[in-house]
Amino acid sequence: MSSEIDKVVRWLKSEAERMRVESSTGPKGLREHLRRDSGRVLRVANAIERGDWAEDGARLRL
Amino acid sequence: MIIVIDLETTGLDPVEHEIIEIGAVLSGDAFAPSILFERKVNPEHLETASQEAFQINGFTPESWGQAIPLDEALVALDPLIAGDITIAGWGVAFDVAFLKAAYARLGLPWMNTRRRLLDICSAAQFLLPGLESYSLTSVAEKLGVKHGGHRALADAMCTLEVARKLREVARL
Repeated sequence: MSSEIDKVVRWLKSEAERMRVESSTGPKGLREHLRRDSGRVLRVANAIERGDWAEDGARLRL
Repeated sequence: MIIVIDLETTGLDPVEHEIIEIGAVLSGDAFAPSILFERKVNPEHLETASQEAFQINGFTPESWGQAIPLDEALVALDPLIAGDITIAGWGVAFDVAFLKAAYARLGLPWMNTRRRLLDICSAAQFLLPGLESYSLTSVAEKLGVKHGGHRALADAMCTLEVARKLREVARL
């Protein structure tokens, strides 16, 4: 995995974690939304890490 | 992170017309493309489509044979724009208006308090005053950026490269 793609994976994971935390502490109206988003963002990060998508040089095609 | 999004549509009105292609490029601080996203979307109401739009984006039912429903395309795109992210585009208000209308039509939540918008066309007008045209093609040509044709991903890639060049112009 290229370093740029690795940065994206780390960013997605950190966002997923932030959303997970905010799904408990954030505005009540947004909590369920944040919980769902956290799971979906983490799944994309994990899929990129597993190599589910074609790598084209330093780029990844989703 | 920044994601440059470009949509091809069946016309100019986000209420009446539909998204038929989504192209997006996700990038870090270097403005180098890291993740490329491209989906062709099946239009459901061809009777409302503008023929002029199809002349621009090259839509024919045959060439859209691999297209998917809009909800599938948005569910795939959404994790990339769900977090702390800047959505950029060339006339990004147009693309965001279509995305918001599509999210609303499908009952998907658009709300994200950490999302920002950046219009690269406005940045070009600010940093390169006095050009005859501020079309993506004209500004790309002015900056020596190759434009790979009027398709969603090609436009998004070109917009990202123009943004990178504009940053050089501004010496940021």
